[in-house]
Amino acid sequence: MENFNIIWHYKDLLLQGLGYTLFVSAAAIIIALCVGMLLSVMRMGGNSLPSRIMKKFVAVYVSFVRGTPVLVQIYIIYQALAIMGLNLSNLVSGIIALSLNSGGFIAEIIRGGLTAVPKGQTEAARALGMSEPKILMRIVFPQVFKVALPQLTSEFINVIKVSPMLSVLAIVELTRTAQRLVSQTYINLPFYVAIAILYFIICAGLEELVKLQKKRLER
Amino acid sequence: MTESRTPVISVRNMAKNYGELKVLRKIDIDIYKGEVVSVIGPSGSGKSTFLRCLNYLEELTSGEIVIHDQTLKGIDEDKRHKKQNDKAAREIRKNVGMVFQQFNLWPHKTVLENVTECPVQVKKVNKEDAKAKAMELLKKVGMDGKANAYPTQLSGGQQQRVAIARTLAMEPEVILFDEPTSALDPEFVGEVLNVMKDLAEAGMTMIVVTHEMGFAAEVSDRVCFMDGGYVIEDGTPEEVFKNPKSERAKQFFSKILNV
Ligand SMILES: Nc1ncnc2c1ncn2[C@@H]1O[C@H](COP(=O)(O)OP(=O)(O)OP(=O)(O)O)[C@@H](O)[C@H]1O
Ligand SMILES: [Mg+2]
Repeated sequence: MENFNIIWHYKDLLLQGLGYTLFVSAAAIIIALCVGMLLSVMRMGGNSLPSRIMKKFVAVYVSFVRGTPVLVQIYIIYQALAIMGLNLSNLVSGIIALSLNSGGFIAEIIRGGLTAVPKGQTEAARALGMSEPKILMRIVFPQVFKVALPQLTSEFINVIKVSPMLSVLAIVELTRTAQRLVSQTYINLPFYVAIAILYFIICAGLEELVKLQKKRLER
Repeated sequence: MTESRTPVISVRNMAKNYGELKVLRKIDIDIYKGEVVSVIGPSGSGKSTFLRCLNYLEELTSGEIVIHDQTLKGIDEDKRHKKQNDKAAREIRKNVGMVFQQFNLWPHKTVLENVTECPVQVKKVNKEDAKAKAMELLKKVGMDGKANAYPTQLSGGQQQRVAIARTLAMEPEVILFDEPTSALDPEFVGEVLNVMKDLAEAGMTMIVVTHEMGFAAEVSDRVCFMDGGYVIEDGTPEEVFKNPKSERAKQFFSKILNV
């Protein structure tokens, strides 16, 4: 009970941390979806030299994202953005780093989902005069997202679970908030259990939301 | 038809290779307004390839296709044709619809959405008008009762009739059919052929790749027999079926009639 009182006492700070976590994750997921779609489109070209260069770029990008620690990626993106002279806040840099990371994974998920869309689907659209971008946005990606929904959901949850790493950029999200409170109060376990419960609620909530959405899609 | 006729589609010297494989060697053909042309021939003779070149689902290797005042040109003659072809194809596809063997309805959209999708997205027709038009077309093909169903809930014959309505919604001048009944269970072939017959009677210009010799004989104005990348016979059903000039066609007919 005493523990609960302590946590309750700091609820505003914790909720603020939770807010940052939700904001950072949501923004990163949305941008990552765009990055993933963009990378997938870059992979769709034929055999011309520019297409081959783009495909190679995506291949290198994806293996880099998969083959290096997220923490290292965050440092690199942060420094690279600074060197490029972009005057971005740590928050924005952090969101970009997470998005670029997750975008690589989403590109791979989309690659798998694309095999579920038969060529005839796009040919029919093309024969009816639909433009290539519209074919992607209205015929191909909706079907890909539908079949790849389970993998996409795990990736979204992954983004939420990786977001504490942004504390290295002094972004005071949920985990960082807890760390601070621990060092202030010398009480640790209750805070960590409390944020674990919060993370669990977000992730489980997201999963439920997706399940509902899936039911709606599968009428 | 006494007025001097200009063809709707004019194919000159068309060839199509897939790498080393010469699928279409030299095709010359004119299609006139209101004509129903059946294209028949053995498997692998290039019938689908021929159709797919007409609306630029495939690039032609050489020669040219003129539809209205738009020209598709062989890309082997000049790589720059590619850009011009892309542009011409956009215009051509406004006038030339296509119906596929596998129907290719979009499974994530309802029947009604399948039919309204392109009028709204491509022609910018407003949604209400598109819906009204779509219901009219669905009624025409006998599918208005299933407007809110999803394609997977329909039989093959029903899906193909929806696919025809989807094509009609774009108000094409010519419709290409690539074996529209070959993927159907026998009991559903008739309903699709009947819809096509109605279209033919209404004056639609149609090119139909088919194995339905009955349909070819009864409904078409012209029958083209393809083999080895050439159109070997081109005449009225009477001429082609009763008096084929070539040995190849004779053999083909004797084979399919014996089955
Ligand atoms: N994309 C492709 N790449 C390589 N070869 C192809 C391709 N499409 C078709 N072909 C080949 O071209 C030839 C003609 O094919 P096409 O599909 O036009 O024949 P078809 O007359 O329609 O036959 P069917 O009656 O079986 O449908 C075949 O040998 C086929 O294997
Ligand atoms: Mg074929």
